[in-house]
Amino acid sequence: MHLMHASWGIHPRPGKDTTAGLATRRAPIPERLVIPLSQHTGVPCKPLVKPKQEVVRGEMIGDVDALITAPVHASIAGTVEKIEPRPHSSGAFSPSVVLTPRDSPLPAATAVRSIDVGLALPPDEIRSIARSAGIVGMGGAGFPTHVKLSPPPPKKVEVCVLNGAECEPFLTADHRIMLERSAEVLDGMRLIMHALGAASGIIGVEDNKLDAAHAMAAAVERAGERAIRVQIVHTRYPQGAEKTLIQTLTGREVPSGGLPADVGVLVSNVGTAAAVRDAVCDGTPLIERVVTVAGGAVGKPANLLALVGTPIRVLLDECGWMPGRTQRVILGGPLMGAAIHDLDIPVTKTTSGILALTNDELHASAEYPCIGCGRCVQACPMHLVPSTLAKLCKLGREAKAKDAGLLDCFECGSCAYGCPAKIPLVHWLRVGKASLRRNKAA
Amino acid sequence: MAVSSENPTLELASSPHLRDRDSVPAIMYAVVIALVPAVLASVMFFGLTALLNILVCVATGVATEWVFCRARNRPSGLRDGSTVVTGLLLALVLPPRIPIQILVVGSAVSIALGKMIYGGLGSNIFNPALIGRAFLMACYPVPLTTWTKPTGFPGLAAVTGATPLGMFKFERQLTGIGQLFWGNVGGSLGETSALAILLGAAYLFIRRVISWHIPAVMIGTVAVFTGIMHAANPGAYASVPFHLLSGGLLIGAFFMATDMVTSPTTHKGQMVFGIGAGLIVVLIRLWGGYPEGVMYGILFMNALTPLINRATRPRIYGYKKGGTPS
Repeated sequence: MHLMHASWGIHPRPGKDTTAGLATRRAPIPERLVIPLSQHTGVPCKPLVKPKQEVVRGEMIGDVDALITAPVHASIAGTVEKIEPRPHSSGAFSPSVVLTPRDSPLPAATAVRSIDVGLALPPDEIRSIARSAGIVGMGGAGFPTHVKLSPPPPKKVEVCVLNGAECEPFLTADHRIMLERSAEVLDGMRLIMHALGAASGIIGVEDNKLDAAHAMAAAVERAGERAIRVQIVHTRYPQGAEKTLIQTLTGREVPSGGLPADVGVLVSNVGTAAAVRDAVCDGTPLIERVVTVAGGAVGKPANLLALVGTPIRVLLDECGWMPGRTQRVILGGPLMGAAIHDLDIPVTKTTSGILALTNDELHASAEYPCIGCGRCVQACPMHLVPSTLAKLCKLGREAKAKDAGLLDCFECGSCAYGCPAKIPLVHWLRVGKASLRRNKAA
Repeated sequence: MAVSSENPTLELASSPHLRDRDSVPAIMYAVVIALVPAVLASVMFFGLTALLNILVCVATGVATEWVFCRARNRPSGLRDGSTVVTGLLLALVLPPRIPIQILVVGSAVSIALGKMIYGGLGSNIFNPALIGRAFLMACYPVPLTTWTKPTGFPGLAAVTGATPLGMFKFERQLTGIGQLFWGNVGGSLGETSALAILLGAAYLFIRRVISWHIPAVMIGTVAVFTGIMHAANPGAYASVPFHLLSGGLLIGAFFMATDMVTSPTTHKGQMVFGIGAGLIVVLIRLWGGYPEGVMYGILFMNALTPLINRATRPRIYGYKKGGTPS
């Protein structure tokens, strides 16, 4: 027990057992794909194709000349139907390429170079492959990987952390990737370390998926890789958040407002690492990903390998979805994911899960006054005082909240999860951040 | 392939989408459940008058809150259960044979001046039940210090007699530790049986309503300082077990100092609170005019709680110790 040491985190019901043991299978190919031109943090792409144009699988269909961006590709061969704004997981409309697939089986990937050849490429070449393959952080943030692989000098990454914590309830996509593609994940990590010149690597896996940890350790062993080790970490949310995982694995703290590179660390999701390997060794851009489909209103939960652009509805139907029991549909995990209103929203590079939750699972309750129990303080991984911040934001005193660390909140939701007064703490903090942004703009 | 065209009404809400099942009313009723052993013990030792006192305090508290909410045209806050806890605790920390009208005044003051004028649950500075008791102590000193010996169930006759702390302070007369533990001694309704309080405290601890920080540190502080004094002069100062088991220390430490609204939010702050409250108890018991000081110890630290919260704010991740970004 920690006496004076600050604790953090929560232990929500995992809900992972329905899908953790199921092998990933391919999702059905929809009649129409909607590929948003913005699936990443940064500048949205401009279309490179025109309506009626034929495209092949993996062809680049959107790009833009900007520092922080990532191109998008056709997930399947077909005909561009139109380019128009479509509902997007962000809640807004985003320009998207609507694609009618040609009725052909998906071609198998063909190796373009072995991993050993890949590891001999100059680092700049790996960065450029990562960019042209449109690789972004697949854990949810969607930050372009090639940018992360180029830390601004004099910053230098010594430690590469592979994030296999997958601390969000319900999600098992990363778990399955580590089990089914251990070698590819490891090779991707080696390529990332090579691109950065990082001396060592740590694969962090929560102790609720020891099979995945063992699979990764076996892969490390097989590759004879001495610079990389697997570290099992305690299962607690948000263990897999970038800053908390860095602290757990290296003891370092990313400075407020800074980047992991400031303390010589880069964190990459396991799926992202596999995507880097696929781009370098198979020449495949990021056009499909594993998505966990689960929740109380899903009859046959599964992990599906889905093409980017597949409407959510198609994946839910594939998994025996029960519309009548569905209260909320969430993209991502239940603690940080976003609720969506339209099931024609497509899977993007960052869609780690699709959850159809019942009213029972949400257990909504009336709000009570804050009784100062301190559970939010004990839960906050950043050691903020969420109850005070929420009060300040609610009163419109976001400048004072900023001084108390408002901008250090990364919205993991641990505070609101445990609040017995059912105060939407994260929501108020978001409101406060939004008015700070407005004031800055004005 | 067949694709459903159904688009059910989907709820949009801000994350997180999962919530812990615990709630404010659940916490309040857990405290009520934890007080059941103390209530049973009070009935066993003092008879049916105990139940009557409790009912009067709870009913007056509920009525007071209802009137306040009505007068201010606000939705009733009674569903949160905190008023029941306050009424129950007030009855348990008052003498058994206190006149009914004094109970009514005390309970009304607890809720009105202890809670509602601050804005209701969560906004009060002091523990409402102790505000009520302190008010009565000032207005009705004699009934508040007139104690009766336990007469057992149904407890119709009353025989006056002092509390163990009073007997020691004013008559140098010690009460047996076993008697203190079971509770067959004079005192407030709910404070006499250490066993009943400890049973309830164990439930609160297992149920994760309270953490060990405040009660353990407060009781530990009393133990350390009364131990030192007892070792220095056993004739003048009572032993540690006597101090721990007598008076309101246990009910205060487990049920009143741990009131979430009026105690610090950080574990470090809670330990500071415990030390302060324990020290005041020792000062009053050993050298003050009253035989007991738990009420003042807790009320004093309630007043310091905002300050303690400020002083023990945790260091934010990624900041240097002074609070500047590292």
